[in-house]
Amino acid sequence: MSPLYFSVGPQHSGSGHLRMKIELQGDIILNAEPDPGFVHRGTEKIAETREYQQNVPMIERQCLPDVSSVSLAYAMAIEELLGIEIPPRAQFIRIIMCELSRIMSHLYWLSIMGIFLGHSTMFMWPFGDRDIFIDIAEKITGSRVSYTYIVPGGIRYDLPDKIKEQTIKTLDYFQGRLKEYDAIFLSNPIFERRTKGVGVLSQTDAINLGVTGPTLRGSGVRGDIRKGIPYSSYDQLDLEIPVFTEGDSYARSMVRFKEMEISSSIIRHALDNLPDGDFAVKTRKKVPEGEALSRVEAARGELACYIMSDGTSKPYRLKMSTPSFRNLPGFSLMKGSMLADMPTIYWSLDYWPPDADR
Amino acid sequence: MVMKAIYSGLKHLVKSRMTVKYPDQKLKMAERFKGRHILDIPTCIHCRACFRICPPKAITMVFLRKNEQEIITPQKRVEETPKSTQTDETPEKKNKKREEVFPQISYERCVFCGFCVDVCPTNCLNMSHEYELSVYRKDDLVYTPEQLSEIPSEDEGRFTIAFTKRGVTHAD
Amino acid sequence: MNIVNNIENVLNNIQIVELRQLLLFVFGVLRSELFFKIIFFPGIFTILITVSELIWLERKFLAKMQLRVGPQYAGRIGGILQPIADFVKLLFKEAIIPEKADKKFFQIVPILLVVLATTTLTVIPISETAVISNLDVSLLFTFAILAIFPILTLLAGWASNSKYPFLGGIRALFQQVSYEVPLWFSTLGVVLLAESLNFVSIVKAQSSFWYILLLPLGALTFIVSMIAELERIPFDVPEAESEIVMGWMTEYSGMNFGLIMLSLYTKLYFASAMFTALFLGGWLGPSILSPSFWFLTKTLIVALIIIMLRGVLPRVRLSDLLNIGWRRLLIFSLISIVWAVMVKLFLLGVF
Repeated sequence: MSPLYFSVGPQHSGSGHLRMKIELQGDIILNAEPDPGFVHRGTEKIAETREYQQNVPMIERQCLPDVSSVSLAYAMAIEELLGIEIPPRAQFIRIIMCELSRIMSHLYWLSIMGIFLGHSTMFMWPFGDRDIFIDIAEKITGSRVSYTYIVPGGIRYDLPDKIKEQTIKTLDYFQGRLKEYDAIFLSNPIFERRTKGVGVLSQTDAINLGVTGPTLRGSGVRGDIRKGIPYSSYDQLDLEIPVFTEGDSYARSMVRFKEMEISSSIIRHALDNLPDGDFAVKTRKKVPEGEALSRVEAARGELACYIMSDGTSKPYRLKMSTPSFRNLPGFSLMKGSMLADMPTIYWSLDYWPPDADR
Repeated sequence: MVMKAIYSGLKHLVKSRMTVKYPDQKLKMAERFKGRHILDIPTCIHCRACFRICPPKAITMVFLRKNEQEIITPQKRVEETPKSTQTDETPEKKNKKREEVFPQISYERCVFCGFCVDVCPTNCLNMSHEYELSVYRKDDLVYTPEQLSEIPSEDEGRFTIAFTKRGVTHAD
Repeated sequence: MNIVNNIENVLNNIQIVELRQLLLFVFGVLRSELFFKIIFFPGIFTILITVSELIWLERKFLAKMQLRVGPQYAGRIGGILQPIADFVKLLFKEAIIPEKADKKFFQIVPILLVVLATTTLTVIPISETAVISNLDVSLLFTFAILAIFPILTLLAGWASNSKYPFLGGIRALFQQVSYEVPLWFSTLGVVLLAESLNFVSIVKAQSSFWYILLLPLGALTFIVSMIAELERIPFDVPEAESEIVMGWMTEYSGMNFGLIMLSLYTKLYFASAMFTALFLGGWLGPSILSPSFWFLTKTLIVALIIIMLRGVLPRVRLSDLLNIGWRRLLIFSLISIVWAVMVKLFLLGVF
């Protein structure tokens, strides 16, 4: 019997904005090829026509659930070129915003994992819980989803009053919610049956293919930029890194679940030990010549930002290496698995099309 | 166990709902919320700093309208923008007398980043809490300086996040 | 009888033949009780109202479990007219038929689905006398009708001439055929204990003990197989997957889709009613309230349990589905037959 070719295309309830060309024989996938590029907006080229600070709103809209990490990478590269040092209070607040974005991105991931597996309740609960974190972000930055808060030179405003009590109340409530997610979804025997042993990525394959983030940590490799090359005062906070050795979709899901708990404890620690001081330093419009590379651990993996400047107030070349694009080789895990495993593998890699297409 | 999942699901039947029944119930925005701009016309010193910093070029500088009935078309906007705001200022031009131009904001392009508010030296440009800006014609999305100087009505929402015994909800 | 004779005499005196025959026919129909049983209770009206209430109940119950509000604007209280609003909306939409699809079969499948689903309800008794047709072999009749559904879903998938419905139709065939055998076998225990295939006799035989207490394994097998036959979550592999957009229902729109939805929920009502009649003692209950009330309440409770399982469990993979159907459930149903024999010999012989 000849195989069936069909495309899980951009207009599909199971794919986001990605086109996958699938070759199907019976129930087994022979070949699954991703076809990225549907959401390409030309970020890197447009950035060459604007000044450094004017690029911040555009850069952060690249990956909307996880805004702070992208703008942090961009800001750190410019600060390295300018040669300025950020005050400790700004660094701690940047950590708090990054961890809040990480929790929000993982909640988004969890809800879409629920709907891909057919669990309609798990689609609604995490989106409801994102709202209480969005509320905190709104009180700190003024916008609900895209903050424009981390700029080269520090942050834009200081924390408002009474934000610490609200954050602690939210995080206490969130602990209870994590137990409910565990009871209804992650300990569900059907979920375990659907994700254990599906899409196994061995340790050597993970290192050779160059995947990053929770995909890497789910295969037994202990790699995290926050611990390996600490930036922005991460070395002053104690950080656990969850590592699972099986390398299947279940391990990758549990890595992200544990990371949510760890992020909550980091936020609490940072709020307790917040130093006083300034929240920004003055910068210059014209950046001296040179090139800089900054690496940041976003929610999906390692994000690198490379800037080459020629002495004017506009960048000569901006290149962002996004984690979703680096995780694309993971789609080869679909070969030989059943059609029902396709959304499981696809979403356990946490591929976010706007992030990969820039 | 499946029973654990069923028990967890049934427990949620007695928790409070999170829904905000918009538009009967509206959320209360934070103090720093970035909504529509408010311009204080007497305080503006025509420095054009907001025009220079705006990332998507949503701000254009125009003269005040003498005739309120004129409809602003995009073509007219381009024709009437004074020439000196379309190029970078060279040092000789800095000593000339400034033309009395005010910012006109197009909400088709504005990303609500708030850089214009931060950079304004006299604090005449601020952001209010109004976010319901839908219109029927695209031309109405361009707010002239007179329209920007109208302070929006006090139709503030009242609902915020509240942690109760039965979960989290949006309450008055 | 005098009045009836008078009216008949008057009608027989009408000279125009067609008018006389028509009026006699209408008069005869209005005098028959079967007509009103078919139209009103427990006939089409009851089914339509119950089905729309089931749709509303499902949406509201799931919404409450998911911490949100379901339908709220149609109808004064809590959106109770929402299913009717949905049907009216579907009436106004264009029923798009793909160009290369087989038009006859494409359009006949929803009609057949609705007709068959309501036919099964003609034999289920709501109380001792409220049944449209009291067959001697009503249980066998329902299974005969149930056996036609897999063919219809395959036909729907094939007639659409498109890849996603094709995959969905084949999977529907696999699933529905493999769960029919445990379904039949698990009711054999009930038939053994009640010594009859008639629903009314089965309910009457439960007056001492409900069969769910005597045959728990059979009840469990029956309800799981029935959920698989209905294609509901957790067994909805043929439809609403994230890989095949809506399965065999992908190309249906407008009132075709409305009729398919109607048939799905009629089957849900039918499954709950059958479970109530076979295992939960039908209309038996304290005689303060009418028997029909007890039947409908028990049916609603069973439907609520099936709806709740939709909110709590994710979807099962196709290979696991067929595994459960052909291995575990078959073994459980065979065990329940043996169990029924033991119960009949040892337990019920005492009473």
